[in-house]
Amino acid sequence: MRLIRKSNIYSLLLIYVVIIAMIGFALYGIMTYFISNDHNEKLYNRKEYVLKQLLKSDSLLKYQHLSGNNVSIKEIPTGPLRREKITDTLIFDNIENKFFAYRQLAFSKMVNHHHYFIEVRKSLTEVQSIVKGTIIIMFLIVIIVFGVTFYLNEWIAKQIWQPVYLILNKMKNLPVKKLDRIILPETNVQEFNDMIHLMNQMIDQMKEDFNNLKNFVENTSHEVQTPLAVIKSKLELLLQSENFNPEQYKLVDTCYQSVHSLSKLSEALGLLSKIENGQFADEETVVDLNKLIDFKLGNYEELIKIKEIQIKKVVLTPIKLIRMNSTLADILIENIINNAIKHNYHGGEIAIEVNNDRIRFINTGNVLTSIPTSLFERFRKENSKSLGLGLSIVREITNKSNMGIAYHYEHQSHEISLTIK
Amino acid sequence: MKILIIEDERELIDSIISYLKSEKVECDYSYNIENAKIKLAESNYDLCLVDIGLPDGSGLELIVHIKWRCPNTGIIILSAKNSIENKVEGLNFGADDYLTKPFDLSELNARVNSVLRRRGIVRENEMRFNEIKIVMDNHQVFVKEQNVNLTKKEFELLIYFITNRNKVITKQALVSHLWKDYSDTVESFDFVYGQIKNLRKKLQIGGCRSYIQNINGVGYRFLDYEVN
Repeated sequence: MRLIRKSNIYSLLLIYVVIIAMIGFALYGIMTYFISNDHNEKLYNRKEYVLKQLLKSDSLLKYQHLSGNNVSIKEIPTGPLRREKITDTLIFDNIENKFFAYRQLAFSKMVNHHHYFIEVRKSLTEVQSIVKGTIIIMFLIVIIVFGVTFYLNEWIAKQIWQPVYLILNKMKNLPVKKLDRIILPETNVQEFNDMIHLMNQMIDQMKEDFNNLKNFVENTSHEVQTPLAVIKSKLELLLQSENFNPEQYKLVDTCYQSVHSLSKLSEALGLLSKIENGQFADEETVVDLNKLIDFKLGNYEELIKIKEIQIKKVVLTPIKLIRMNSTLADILIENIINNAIKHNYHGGEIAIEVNNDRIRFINTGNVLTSIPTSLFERFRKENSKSLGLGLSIVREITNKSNMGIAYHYEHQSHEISLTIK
Repeated sequence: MKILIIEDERELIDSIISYLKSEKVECDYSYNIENAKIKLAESNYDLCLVDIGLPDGSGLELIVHIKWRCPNTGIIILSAKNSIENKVEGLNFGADDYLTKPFDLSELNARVNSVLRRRGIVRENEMRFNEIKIVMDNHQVFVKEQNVNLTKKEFELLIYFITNRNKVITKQALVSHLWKDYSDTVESFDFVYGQIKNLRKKLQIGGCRSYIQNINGVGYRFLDYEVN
């Protein structure tokens, strides 16, 4: 729900439901009070009239007949006089076949030594109609006024809040790669102007931070290579010494291997952050992943042969083409296949199943010791010789290229499935 | 044969010179582009090793200069950047090869020889090493004039060994040389071991002496007995 509508609904609900309901109740109370007073007065008048008729005593029955439900007179045994009592009651009407509300005044009177019990009534139908009508009119007024004010409020708020929506829209479409300042005309609201100003300050800061980070990662991943090249070359020269004992050879070799890993590590981290920073987002082309898989398998042919791995590739339905950066596609497939070979055992198997928007890579391998879902995390490795960045790179690429990736492990078979969205 | 090294890391220059230098190879160096241009004007070089990140500009700029002033000079880029884009860019500028830091000196030596051969600066079609004769054109290997059938990888391995003869070559350098970018899959060095075993066997069948030495699990050396 948008902010405007929410505040509108709250304020209107408060005004209309609470206040108007209160006014409505008050109005109802006052109206019924006056009407019922009026009724009671009329009942007393009627009582006087009936009594007068009774004293004349001749036309009592006739009168009762003519007055319908309005008067009933019964002779009752002599006794103490009953007290006057006003009540509301329902009386069944034979003609209309339903109940009608009446107000009645009951009392008894001794006339000519006869004890009469008399009820005089007045129909409440008109009162109910008046109340009903008033309520309907009030409801209509409330609904109309509610609707009009609702839309009016919303319209006014929209006009006032427009700069906020413009800022929001700009922020939504703000690409991480090239952060641009939000350019909006000055508004006449101090808060909005401040907000735009602050927003732009933040964007500048973010831009600077982003560039710093990017440069830092790029620089370190490159600049570290030259000192490593020096170390590596010196170690290689050291190896040429004639009189080394096995222990010394071992020391040099360990250093040499570590230099190699460090170089690979820094390269992989550099690549990972380049992907994360969206530096490959441009230059998308249509990529046929199936062809790419065949190409990569060709590159690995020799290694696959040496490790005596069986490749079983089936294409159930032709692959759906995807738009993505070709370098990323290359790295993606490379890493997945590399992974399937690296973590396979001698004489193992790799099954690849292409099915429209889904590619499954299933490879045999050793028992998994870590939690499957954690495999995509950085530096999560099953094998101490690997860097533990291959699958993080894979996940990062799928995140950036509108693909899904899942890992499944069962009975020493590792499955990576790639989904094109 | 003269090689000019343009690189701002002096220690790296020292290493390269001490590895490449021999009676046949003369090395010269420069720390920046300006000095390199002067050196290029003063004498003829067969090959330039060019670093991309130089203090007074990009090595790519120097490559353009070399291509223009000395078109017959071979160029190998030494760069810290390993992306495909960087490699393609460097080669498009006219470099013959692209080597990523940190490289193995043995690999650098192999690349230098390969570029010199490709450019016709070294015109030997035959490579001789005692009783081994290699015909480069059709990839044939003879031991005592007897043809020995080698696979592509074994052939590459033999060339690499002979090019870097008498030097200790690390296992990692061999793996990287044989499998290039795919070398990281080779988590064990067993594969190289297998290739070397086969090569050794094939050469020995032809009556060749055993030149390949295993150096304490660090690597291998193709040792020329007659020199020592």
